[in-house]
Amino acid sequence: MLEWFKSGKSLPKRYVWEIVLGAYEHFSKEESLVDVDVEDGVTIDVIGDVHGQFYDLLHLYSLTGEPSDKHYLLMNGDLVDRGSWSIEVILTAFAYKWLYPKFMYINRGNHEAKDMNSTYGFEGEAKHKHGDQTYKLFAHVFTTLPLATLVSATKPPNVKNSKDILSPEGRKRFFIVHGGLFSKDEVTLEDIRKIDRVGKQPGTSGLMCELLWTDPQEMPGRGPSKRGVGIAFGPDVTKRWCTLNGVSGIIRSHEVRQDGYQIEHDGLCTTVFSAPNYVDQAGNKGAFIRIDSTGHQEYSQFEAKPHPPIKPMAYVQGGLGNMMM
Amino acid sequence: MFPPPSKPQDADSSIRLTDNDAALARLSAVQKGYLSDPFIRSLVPRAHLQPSRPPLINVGTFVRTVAIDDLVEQWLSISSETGTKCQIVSLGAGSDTRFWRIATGPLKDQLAAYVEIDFPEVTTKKAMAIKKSKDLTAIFGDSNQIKLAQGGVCLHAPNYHLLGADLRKSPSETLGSLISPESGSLLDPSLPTLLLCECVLVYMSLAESSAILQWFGTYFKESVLGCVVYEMFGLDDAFGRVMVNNLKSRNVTLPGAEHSPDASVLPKRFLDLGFTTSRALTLREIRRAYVDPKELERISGLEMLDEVEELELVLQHYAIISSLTVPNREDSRLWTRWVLKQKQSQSNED
Repeated sequence: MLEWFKSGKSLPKRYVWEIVLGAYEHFSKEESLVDVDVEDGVTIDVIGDVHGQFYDLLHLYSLTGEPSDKHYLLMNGDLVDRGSWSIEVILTAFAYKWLYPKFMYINRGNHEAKDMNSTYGFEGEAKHKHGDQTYKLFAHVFTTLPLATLVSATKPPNVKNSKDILSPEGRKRFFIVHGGLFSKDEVTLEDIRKIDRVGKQPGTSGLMCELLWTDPQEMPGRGPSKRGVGIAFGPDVTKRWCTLNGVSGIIRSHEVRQDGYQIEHDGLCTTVFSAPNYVDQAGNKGAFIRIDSTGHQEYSQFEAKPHPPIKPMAYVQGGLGNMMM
Repeated sequence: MFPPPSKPQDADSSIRLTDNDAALARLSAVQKGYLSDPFIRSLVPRAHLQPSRPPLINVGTFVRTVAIDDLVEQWLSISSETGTKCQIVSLGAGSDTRFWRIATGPLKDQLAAYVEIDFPEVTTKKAMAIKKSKDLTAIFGDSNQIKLAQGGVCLHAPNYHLLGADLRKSPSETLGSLISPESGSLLDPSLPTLLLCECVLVYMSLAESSAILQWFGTYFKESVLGCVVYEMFGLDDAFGRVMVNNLKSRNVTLPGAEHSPDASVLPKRFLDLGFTTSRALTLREIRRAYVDPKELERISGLEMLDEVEELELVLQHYAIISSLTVPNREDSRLWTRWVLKQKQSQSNED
């Protein structure tokens, strides 16, 4: 299938539906907060925004390897929109979920949502390649994507550091979500697990919205979001939340980082972004984070790869590519 | 068999098509509620069928429009304070609706003349659209006042003139005979005059655009001359390369674009050409501090921008340069007030 996609071909609609429905079977059984335990000998790679950059995703998968029993993948949202191969990206990811439900995990991003898809290209691309009904199917299946994943080490950390916040069992564990933390302090992992998400859009306020939209800031406390939705949360907010919930750190995406990843908030908040040379312009690297069974994190970076001459946002009505003001 | 390959567009018609970008961007901003302009629909064919532009473009169009509108309004009101009428010359005007917006606005009596110059193909179409549109001809009162000239390429009304010319040709040949034909000059060289150059100079060489600015400088050497230039610049980075490539694939080049990414070098050119003062601001800076915060709040509610970085990147590559020459000191006190003013303090964003 990947070769088929690489040469620019479209899957027959029937296969698209089978893949999406196959993935849907698994997502609909998952809770809004998914628990993944990393057993001895297993690693999990956390991947950030991909935004339809299929050729870069192929390169990334060549670095991480396909999902397997020794080797899990977690894609942290924003697989679609902006880049013009969103369909190929999402179908590949969904195919992995269908094939390897316990080795492939996907969190919802703010771009797995209707109003983003209508403006930033996925709706146009999906309808163009596979028709209106298929787009509607994707729109519904996006609502079944879990909102966050808790990745837990199963062995104690190799190096004891008194600053580390550990789970009640004395293990490192990481809260992986697309956006970030909340407008109030007292949110617990249970609160997130219990969010009733199926059929719902993130909206412009509330827990689901904040999980997918917020950004860290350098100043302590909370501030207004530069995006006009959600808030910005400071290092003290992150520390209090991690301490309350016994979480060693949060890993999130949602923002470009020139080096592909950035460790912020004294190590308690890390941003990982996996769309190199974002929208053909930003010149950034992509990155992914490998976590092992002791909770140790390893960061890998990669550069953009060439792609066929279709510009980003090619399927946006009135497309951005050739536009000027 | 296969259809014949389509003819590559010649470069000039590709430049003319950039007016389409501007017109559709404007129409989109109007339709989404960023701007109000009852006239743009009359200048865009099949306006009701045009898809709107992405939010990023709408915001950019809004910022550019309110800033230039602000400078134009100030020009009109300062001339009112000095007790004279003024003139506006819009180069590469395309489907701009500014004349009609002024002519239906509070400062309409300040305008002695409004002259638009663009390629003959563009002005012919605009002249036809004007004649066909009730909204556009209503301004002129009596429709007998509207006269076509040069086979429909030019349109004349009491205080509005639409002239067709290739601005890259020597100004003494083109501008000279258009503006001062034997029948009498369209522009009074003693009245304060504002040149508007919105995304026009950048499509010609520096020598060609300098020749135009010098010609106007000489024509208006006895009076106050202002010049507002809006265009892209600093295209040597990744963003610029993408824009340049996109335009190349449309057969458009930007021989006049300034290379430096720093907006502060932009005024130098105008000072070298003889303007006494010149100031440049990027659209990014303008959006941050020179637009009414209430308006920014209003427009942020119109559409959801998912991220601000891309917007800032785009806005950072467009600038508005306002330049001024005042011949005698009496007038300068009032005219030096002509500048975009900060409406809020710069925020501490990176």
